[in-house]
Amino acid sequence: MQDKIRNIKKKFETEIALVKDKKSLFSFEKKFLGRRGILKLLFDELKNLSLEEKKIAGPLLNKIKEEFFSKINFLKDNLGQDNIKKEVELDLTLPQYSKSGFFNPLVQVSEKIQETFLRLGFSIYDSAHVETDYYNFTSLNIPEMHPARDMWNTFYIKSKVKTQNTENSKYTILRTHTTAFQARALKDFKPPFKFINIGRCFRYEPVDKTHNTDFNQVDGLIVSKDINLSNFVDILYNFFEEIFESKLDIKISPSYFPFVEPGFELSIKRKNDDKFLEVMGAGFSHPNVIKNAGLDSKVWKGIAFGMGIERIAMIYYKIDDIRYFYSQDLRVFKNIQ
Amino acid sequence: MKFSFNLINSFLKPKIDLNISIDLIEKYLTEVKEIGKFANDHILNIDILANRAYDLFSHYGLARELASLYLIKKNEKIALQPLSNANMEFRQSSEQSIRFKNKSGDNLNRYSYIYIKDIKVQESPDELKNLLFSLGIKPINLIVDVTNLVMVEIGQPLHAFDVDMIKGKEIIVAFANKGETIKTFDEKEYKLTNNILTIRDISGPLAIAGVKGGVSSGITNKTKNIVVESANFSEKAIRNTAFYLKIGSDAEKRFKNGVDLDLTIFGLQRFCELYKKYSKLDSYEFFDFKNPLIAKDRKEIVKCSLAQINKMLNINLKTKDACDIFEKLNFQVVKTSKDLICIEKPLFRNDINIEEDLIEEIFRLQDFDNIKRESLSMELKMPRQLNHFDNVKLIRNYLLHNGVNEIASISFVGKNDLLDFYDSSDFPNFVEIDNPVSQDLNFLRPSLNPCLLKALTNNARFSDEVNLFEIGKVYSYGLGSIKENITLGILMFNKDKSLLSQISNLRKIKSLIFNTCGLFCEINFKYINNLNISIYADNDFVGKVFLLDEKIKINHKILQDVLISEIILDNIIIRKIKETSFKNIDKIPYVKRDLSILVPKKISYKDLIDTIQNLKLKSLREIDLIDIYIDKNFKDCISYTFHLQFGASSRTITELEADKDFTKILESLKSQGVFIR
Repeated sequence: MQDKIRNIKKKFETEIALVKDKKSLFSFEKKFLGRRGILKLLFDELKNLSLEEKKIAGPLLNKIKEEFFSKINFLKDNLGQDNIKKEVELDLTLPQYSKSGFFNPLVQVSEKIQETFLRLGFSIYDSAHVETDYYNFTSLNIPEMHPARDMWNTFYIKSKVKTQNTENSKYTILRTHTTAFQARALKDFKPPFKFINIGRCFRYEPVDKTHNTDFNQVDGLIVSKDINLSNFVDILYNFFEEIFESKLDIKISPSYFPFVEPGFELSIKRKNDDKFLEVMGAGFSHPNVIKNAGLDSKVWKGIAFGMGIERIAMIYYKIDDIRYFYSQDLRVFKNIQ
Repeated sequence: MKFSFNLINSFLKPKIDLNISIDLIEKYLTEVKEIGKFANDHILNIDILANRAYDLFSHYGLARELASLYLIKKNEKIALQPLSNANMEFRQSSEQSIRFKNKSGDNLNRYSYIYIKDIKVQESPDELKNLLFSLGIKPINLIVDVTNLVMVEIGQPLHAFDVDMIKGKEIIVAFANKGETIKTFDEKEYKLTNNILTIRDISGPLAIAGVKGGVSSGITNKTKNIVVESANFSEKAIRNTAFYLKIGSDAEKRFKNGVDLDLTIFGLQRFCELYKKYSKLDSYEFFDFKNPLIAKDRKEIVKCSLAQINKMLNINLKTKDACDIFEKLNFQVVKTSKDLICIEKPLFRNDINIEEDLIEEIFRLQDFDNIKRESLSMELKMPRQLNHFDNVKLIRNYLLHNGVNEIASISFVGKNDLLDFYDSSDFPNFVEIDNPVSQDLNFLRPSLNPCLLKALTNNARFSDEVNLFEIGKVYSYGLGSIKENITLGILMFNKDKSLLSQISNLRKIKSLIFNTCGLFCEINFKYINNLNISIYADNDFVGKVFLLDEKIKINHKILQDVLISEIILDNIIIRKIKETSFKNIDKIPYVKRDLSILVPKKISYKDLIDTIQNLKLKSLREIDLIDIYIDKNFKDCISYTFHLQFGASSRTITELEADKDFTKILESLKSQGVFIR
């Protein structure tokens, strides 16, 4: 009996979906709920069942009777002469809106870099674009009139009557590297700490495929009593494997920057690269940088590193011209996405 | 810097291999940028960095370094030839034909020369010309060419003067007088000041000391007698000259990084040796002046701790290994103890001063093929985000997901870009660059508006619809210092001139502002005039939404409306996301009514809402704008459809009560000139 009830229910549900108008609804109602309808016949069969079977089948039948009534009434309310259920007209193959805006790959990579460093426990400093040459150079062991300053071609701010004239600083400039935050971070926060400083830098340089007056960098500074090369390499593997989403090899070559000693350059090679790509300059903080901040360089050791974000973005997205990032040309960004 | 491989090899015995040398340099010294072939020689362009300029701006220095690298890395002994013929000794005569005076104090470390009479000026042989040419130096005549060859060989710049052009037969080293000028051998004129060190005679400057020689005393075909100067100037004086005159040369490059004092004599010896190979050189007068103000004792001890080396580099070096490396680098180890290694600072290396410099020498010679990785243990702290990265990210991603495209613009703008949006009287607030790359990029942008406008004109050629945003810094003077503000700029433009499409853009831009900045503060728009509205965040003015002026549109040949919004984000992103708390769902049902109205264009949306709200109906719970459209038949009007919801606070409102209030609304609107559909 229960099987019969189940089958009737199925039949009802299948056939009600085909009811298109009031006329067919009427005959449908009669078929199932009429005086000689299907349900009536089932109710009649009840007397042939045993007491136990009746105890189960009876309430079940009543339940589906209520269901049938309620569904049929719902259709009655909503199925007017005009409310004829239509054939499905909607074409499911119509395309989505191409509504998402195109991101600038430079900003996208910059965001990913910040997220990765945050996850590695680095805090983000925020130093100004307009800097004094004390913080940009002198505090980083790059004295005035020193040939090392030739490594950075600087934009100078035209001095007004009163300029930022602090800490033995003669000039107000646009920062040439995000490294300019180190002395500030060492002053504002007590070590041990891990910080990055990320954002726009400026160099007075002819603009070409790989150079632009405006560019972005991220600089890092880890200051601790106990840090060694292996620690640094570990952080780098974690970072680069996250950014480039693949296992890679890291190569260290000797190099020189006035604010680190020893200094080195870092190159990476992913599986599909045919050669190592230079991505980062780094080194152990020069004791003068630590001392300039008023800390004991015998106690506190630092590791500093810096990267050009355009370079990373160009490797990641396989873009060959830095000027695209600043071209404002949406066709370029469209092609990346 | 360019190096001739053959010239390097001329100082070494046995000869070294090109490819092995390149490999050693790249692994343990610095980058080899380019390798070129020149006849039977190879020219290497090597990136010698500032810290090794002192010893490696010379072929001899590089040969010495390569000999050390061969010894350390390949265990091969390569002998470095002595710098000059030891038999050649200079004797200073008691009478000098040419007098000398130093009036520059301690800016001159040493001045030596040889005075050669009856010299014949001739062309250099091809082999010498080719060598110089391959190194980027223009051959002139044998005398000048040999001076240049000595400079690239050993790093000591020399300069030859025509003695007969030296007035009063006296060479003076002194700073120039203000207003003096000099014409250099390359036909350039320089105005001198008292910052510029010169070689002069009694009548005026003969040469810019250590940088460039003057044309008047230069070697010509008529020259019969010469003085070959081999001097050593203070780094500071040469750097000053380079800075103030914006001048550079091969000599200046070397002097500003410092040159070993002993090289002056070697320079003259080498000159004689080389010159004799090609021409006659019988006799000469020698002169040497060592400035007594310069400290004589140059012996310095530099110490380093073995424990420190091993700790920093995470290696396990023994004392004898470290000493072995230092000795093979030609450093003299004077003392070792259990942990400390003391070396005498080598004369040819001015970059070895502190412990870290010695650690660098050990470091660069390690083979870091498989560096061990070790996690850094540091206390766990929640990282700070002083740049409010999280909040900027929220804003940016929301804009991208809503179809606005992201651009980045350079920070520089020009006067004309600014005059689109500002008056001349605003210019004192703008930050100007002293040395811009071009005159139309000489200000830092005080606003994103000119950048957005530029982006529009760039993209409108290719697209009928331009929606873009930029989040970046703008710069201006405020309270005596330069302010940097993080700003959000949005631009919306559609070539579809229909009012409906412009309405859609306006609502969209307001939604973007409301849904991004509104995460952190209460956003309110305040109508100013028919071209712009102000934006307030928690009652602070933060920016505006405006229509681009007709004047600007004509300047840039734009026909349709351009909507721009600029918001200063600094005070918005420092906040946390607004606190929200759950409010219980209203269990009392509402009565809904649709309001479809036709509104003459002169009545603003705000006017409509004000009219309805001025009725102060307690039962009106919600007014929801569902649709705006322009009916073809009523072009001077805008059609709005609202869903209104009526409800009572403590009980179910009746249809009758709702209708009563609804009618009040209809009547009030009608009295304002609105048509009910």
